[in-house]
Amino acid sequence: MTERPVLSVRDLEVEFPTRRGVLKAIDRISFDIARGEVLGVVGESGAGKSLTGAAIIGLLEPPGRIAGGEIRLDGERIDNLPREAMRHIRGRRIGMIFQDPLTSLNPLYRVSEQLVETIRTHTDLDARRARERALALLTEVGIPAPEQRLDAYPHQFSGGMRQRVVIALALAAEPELIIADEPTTALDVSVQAQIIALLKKVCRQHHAAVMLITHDMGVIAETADRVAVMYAGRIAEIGPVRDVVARPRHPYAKGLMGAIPTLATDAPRLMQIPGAMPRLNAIPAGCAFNPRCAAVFDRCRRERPEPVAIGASEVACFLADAGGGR
Amino acid sequence: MLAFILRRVAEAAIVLVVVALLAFLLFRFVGDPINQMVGQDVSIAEREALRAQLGLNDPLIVQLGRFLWNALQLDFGISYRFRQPVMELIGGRFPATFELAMMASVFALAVGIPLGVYTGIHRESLLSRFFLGVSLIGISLPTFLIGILLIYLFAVKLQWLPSYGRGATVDLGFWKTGLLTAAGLKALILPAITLGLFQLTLIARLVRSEMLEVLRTDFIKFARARGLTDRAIHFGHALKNTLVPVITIIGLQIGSIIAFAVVTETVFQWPGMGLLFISAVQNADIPIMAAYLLLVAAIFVTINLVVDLLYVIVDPRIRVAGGAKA
Amino acid sequence: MTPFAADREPGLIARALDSDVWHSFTRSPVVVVAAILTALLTLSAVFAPWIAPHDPTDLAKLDLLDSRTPPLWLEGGDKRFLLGTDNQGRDMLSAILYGLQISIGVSVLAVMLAMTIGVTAGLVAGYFGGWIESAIMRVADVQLTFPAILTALLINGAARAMLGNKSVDGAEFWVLVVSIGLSFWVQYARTVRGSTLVEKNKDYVQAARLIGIRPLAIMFRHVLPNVLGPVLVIATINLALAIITEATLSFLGVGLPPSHPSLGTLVRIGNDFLLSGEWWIALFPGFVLALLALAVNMLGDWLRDALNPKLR
Repeated sequence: MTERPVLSVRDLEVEFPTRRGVLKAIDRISFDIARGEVLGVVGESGAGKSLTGAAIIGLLEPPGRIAGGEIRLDGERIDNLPREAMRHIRGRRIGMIFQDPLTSLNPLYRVSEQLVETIRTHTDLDARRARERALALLTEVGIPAPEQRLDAYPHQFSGGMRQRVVIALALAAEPELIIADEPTTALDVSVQAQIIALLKKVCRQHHAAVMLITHDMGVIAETADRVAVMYAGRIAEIGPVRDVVARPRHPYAKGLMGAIPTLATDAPRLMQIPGAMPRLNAIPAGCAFNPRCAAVFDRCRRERPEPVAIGASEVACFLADAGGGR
Repeated sequence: MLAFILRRVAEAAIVLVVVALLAFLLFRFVGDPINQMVGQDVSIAEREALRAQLGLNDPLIVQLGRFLWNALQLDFGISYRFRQPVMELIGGRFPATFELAMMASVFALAVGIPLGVYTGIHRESLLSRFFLGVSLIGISLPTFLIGILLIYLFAVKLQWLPSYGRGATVDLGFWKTGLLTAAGLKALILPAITLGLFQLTLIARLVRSEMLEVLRTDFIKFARARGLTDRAIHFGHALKNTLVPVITIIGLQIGSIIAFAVVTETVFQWPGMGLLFISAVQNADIPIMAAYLLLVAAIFVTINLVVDLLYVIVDPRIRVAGGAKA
Repeated sequence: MTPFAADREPGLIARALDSDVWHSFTRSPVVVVAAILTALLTLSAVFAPWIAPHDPTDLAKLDLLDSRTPPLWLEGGDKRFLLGTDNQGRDMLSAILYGLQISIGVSVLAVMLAMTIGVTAGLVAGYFGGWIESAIMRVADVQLTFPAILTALLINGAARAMLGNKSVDGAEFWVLVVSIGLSFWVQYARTVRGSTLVEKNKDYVQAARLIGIRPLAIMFRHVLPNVLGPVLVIATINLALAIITEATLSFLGVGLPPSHPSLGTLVRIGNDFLLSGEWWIALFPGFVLALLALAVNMLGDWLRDALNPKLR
């Protein structure tokens, strides 16, 4: 990978100061996303997936804050930019898609108004040109009869159609990176595949890299080039999707992959990981996964495993070389 | 849409009819109209004659019909105390109350909304905290106390402004206005502030809490992620979404401005309807009370209708939902 | 600050001190002050006859020569009258203490009346449904269109007309209680009706019906505890409103008469002398009234947030 990555995250830390002390929600994570690449980010709720996305686009909710590390977009540091400079990056260079299309659009504004507003914020187009571009975007994301739908209000669209509008909005200023935070979770199963396919298609056409946050391993397997498995604010394993899905090394990744029902293998029953992910105020010392790990040994309770390269992957486990101990 | 409006009009009519019924009962059964009208020395025969002449011996339903019919023509009979047609009395005093209420509303809105927006956006700032503290005091202080304090400060101590009356008025034939003379305007300042202060704090607190709520919504997060300017987000997307609840409260508040005008007019000896009403209550002058009751009900109902129609303009979702439900 | 303190299981008191309710209490010293203030004012009202240096209701003891004496620390102050006297030579301090008693008395009784009417109406409406419910809730809707102060004024006026010009001694007190009480019942009725509707369809009510227990008795026994929290919150907030409403009515001259003044009446009397410079007659009772309303209001606000954040 000689080309400079679009997004490069190094040792990122996000923390929440509370009455009872500082909670570390993201603990030293590092990853890159290459131009045009789709990086899937998976993990349980609360693992820090969405927070990572929010930190990158500079929209952490106070009192949450970036406590360490750096984020680079095309080599340029963006985690310490002033407010106004960061605003110009949002929408223009990083687009974002949220989970729920029903609530992502302002109900009181026409779709055309929201598109034109976004386009004109980031480009020099005049109102007429911006409207033309809005129409082109709606066409591109597959809204039927876009001329008639352009001036409709969000509530006049179905959930799937609204998410298409949201994608059009995210793409409006041709960003080089799209962060899609659970883009299909709130949708009907029947339209989920369409939206994922659309997302993949338009991002390829616009040469945008994608950070696809989801807990749906099926979506990852179909869509992502690489995948990062997050656990308790850390990356357990990151690597090419076929490696991580087919031959996970980290015990947690194994558990996660084992929890996917497949028709191909004839595993007698789904694997379960005993216990639950620790709360932020009770993350154990050493490896965060150690209380639930079947292969735990003394060192795991004392020392945090740093990611080690294994093939094209990186795995944060002392037993990674040995295949995670089993 | 039309059905929605028609339903609202019908509901308003029902409220008015109920109130008219109450006014009639008040008029007919509370105290003896004859006793109120004539002196002690009038003979029983004369009383009976008067009773028959006024139609008080007719069947109740006929009396009710007559009362309603007269009310429709704005005829509420003769005041027991002033021996003058009630409508003449009220009509002569309406301009004073109207001008006072309008100025108070303008004051409350013009200061309250910006204050609410500011404290909603900068909720941690010193000014916001200061305002919240002061506003609780403002809400707890009875209106008449605020008026008395203002009089003491600005009329007695500083002697900047008059402490009672309307100042000089200009007679436009059908309307006596205090807005066209300097003295009239000066006389309006203290009563308008007194009357508007409570509404101001209420509106500011409401706008603030609505802003806080809206600023947490997904579509505001998405608007930020699209890189829109703070200005567009706060004053476009957020403020517009606070309008529906704010309009509701403002509608109700105009009602309570009229109610509290009674108090303010007493404090400042402002020659409006409220002062007339209070003297009617003190003297059990039922025709004035009944007329005032109906008039105020009519104003309230009209305001509620206007509020409903404003919703429709502000929120496109109601245009569809309201029509569909009806 | 021992490093492992967090690992130990905290005791009951420690946990109570760490609870959010307690935190919200101690984190705002204002609320603590409000609680103390309310207690102090209530106590002085209850013990007014023992604390007050004079009996302001005994008109025979008043001396017009003492009238409009300024407070003690001003030029012309009299050491018998700490806060000065009003236009009839009544000691302001004593009048305020007795007035406080009347103001609190009227407000508490009015709130209790409103609560009784409202809870009963809500239970009946929710339980019986049908036209009874429609009638009750329609009346509630119509009344809700009007500000409480107007309703109270109208009821007050009607009561005056009914009593005629023959003034019954002490009638004003009860007219006030009734007119304020009748203006505030709607909120209780709505809350209780909502809970009743929910409770009515639960299995145990159906079961009780089957074994022949009078369901209305059940409603009282089971719905009432459920709505006690919200009803208490409404009552506290209403108490502040009732205090203000009573004061306003008295100030408007349709409340308590000058012979038995409440705080509002005292301000009304003082208002006439504000322009001639005798500010203490209006401002002292006004100040006490403001303190009382503010303290109760803050308690209500806090109680609402602490007990039920969802209740507006």
